[in-house]
Amino acid sequence: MLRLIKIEWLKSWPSRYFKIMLGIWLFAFISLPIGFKLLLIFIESKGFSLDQLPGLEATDLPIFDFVDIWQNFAYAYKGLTIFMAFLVIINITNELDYKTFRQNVIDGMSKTEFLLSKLYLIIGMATIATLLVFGFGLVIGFISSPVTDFNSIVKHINFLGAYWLHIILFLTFSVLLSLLIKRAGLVIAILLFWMIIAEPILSSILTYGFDLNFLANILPLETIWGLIPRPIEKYGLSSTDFWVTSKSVTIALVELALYLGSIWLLIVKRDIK
Amino acid sequence: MPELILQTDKLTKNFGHVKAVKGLDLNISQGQIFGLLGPNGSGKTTTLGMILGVLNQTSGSFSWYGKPATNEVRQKIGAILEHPIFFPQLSAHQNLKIAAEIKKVNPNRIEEVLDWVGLAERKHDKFKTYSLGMRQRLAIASALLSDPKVLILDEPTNGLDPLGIADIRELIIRIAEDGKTIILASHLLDEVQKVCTDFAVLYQGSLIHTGNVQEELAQDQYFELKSNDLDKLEENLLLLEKPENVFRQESLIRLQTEKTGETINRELLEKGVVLSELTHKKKTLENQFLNLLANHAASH
Repeated sequence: MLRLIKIEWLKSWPSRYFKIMLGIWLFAFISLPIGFKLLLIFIESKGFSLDQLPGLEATDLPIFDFVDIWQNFAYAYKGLTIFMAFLVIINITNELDYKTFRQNVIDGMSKTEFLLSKLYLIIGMATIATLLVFGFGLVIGFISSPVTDFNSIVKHINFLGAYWLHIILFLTFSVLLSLLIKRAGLVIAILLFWMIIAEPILSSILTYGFDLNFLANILPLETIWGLIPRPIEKYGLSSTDFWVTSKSVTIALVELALYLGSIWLLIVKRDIK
Repeated sequence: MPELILQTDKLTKNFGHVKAVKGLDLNISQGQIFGLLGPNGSGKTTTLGMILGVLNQTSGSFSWYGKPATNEVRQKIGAILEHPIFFPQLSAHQNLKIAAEIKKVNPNRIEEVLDWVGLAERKHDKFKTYSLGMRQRLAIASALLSDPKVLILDEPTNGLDPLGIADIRELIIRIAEDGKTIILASHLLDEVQKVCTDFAVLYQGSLIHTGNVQEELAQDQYFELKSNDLDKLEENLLLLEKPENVFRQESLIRLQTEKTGETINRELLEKGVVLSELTHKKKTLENQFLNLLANHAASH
């Protein structure tokens, strides 16, 4: 395992592209909560108060408070997963494009080891991101939260688990797309097209046209994003899910198994051209 | 008997309806420099792809050192398929670190092999800045990392300039002198003739011939003789040699004989025939190859 992680590290770290992407991601990661806090202060300074909750100032919302902070952070940070997906897409398509995958096998790596080295990369990225969110959450929570007892801190911490699974699922999906489509630009274009245009349209058709809610719920990106429900409604009138639902986790795990199975077929069973 | 390095048994590969390799039986032993010959598209690279684990054979089997192939076996084989493959944005040294880790080789070997192929000075430059000749030498360095007993080279001089070709040829001969077994796929017959001990000819996925380079080429040597009086020369040659070995042509006489050039010259002088030209001709692998293909085509 350590050997495979080391190989992946030797491949990725010296590349300038990898460092730049990592830098952008880290910068966005750090500036996100700070930026949001500044935005709230700005809204307040303009004298707005929120319509639905008269008398409550924007900065009074318990966005950075314990119990709520994990869902809010996980939800906000899942927007940055796309950067990690780009990294993974470039990584995989480069291996195919440069034929280094083939050379690795010739040099004595088994195809399964190659697959594992990429899974370790994904797990590593997901774990680092989750730990960062956990660290930030603790620090910012302790600064802003009126309650800091242990129960409040851990009550909704399973959103971090959902965040971790969300990254794993998204990146595994990206690996599958990369193996099928093979050209980085095309993979990214198709992923964005599917994410922003195709799936929302398909989802609406399924939901409103055919009343097939269940199908709409298992569309790949709906599953990926749906693991962490939108927290905004919490502060309004609606009573959406406040927690990670076992249904969404189950769907996610089934789809993860499907993706991994397909990836295994494409890497281990297919000829390397 | 020297140790059997590679054995293939009815190795077959189909790509859809295309039969790329048809029931190939090959035996390659320790110390051979084995030339795999064949026109483009004859199945050479497909065969190498299968024995190197990147293509799954449709049927048949192969073994390395008498054992089924595993990735551990491949770690002890040095191989370059088609052209040198490295991460373009990484340096030679960084690329070899990856290969060393895959092959489970001590990283100290990197400096040794880079030195050996003459790339030590450029080792920190990115691979994409390398010339084709340097890339080929780096690929050979990488293949030598695990000090393998067998080296597989696929068209190693493809696209190189004459200097680069001479360079690589010299490297191959130096590697062979170390007692390593080399499998060399090529369509450049001249190259195979210069470095190989044995050869096999593939044609449309089938093995149509295997043989030893020296033996096959030696049995087909002949002399070309010229003299101012060709009639007198022919007359005397018919006395000295079997008539079926003497061929009169337009301006010369071709003679098939076991004798050396010196003996022929002396015997003719004794008969009072003075030669104006005496040329020792060896059959080239190219002729042999074209004959094989022609015979094969005729018999099918």
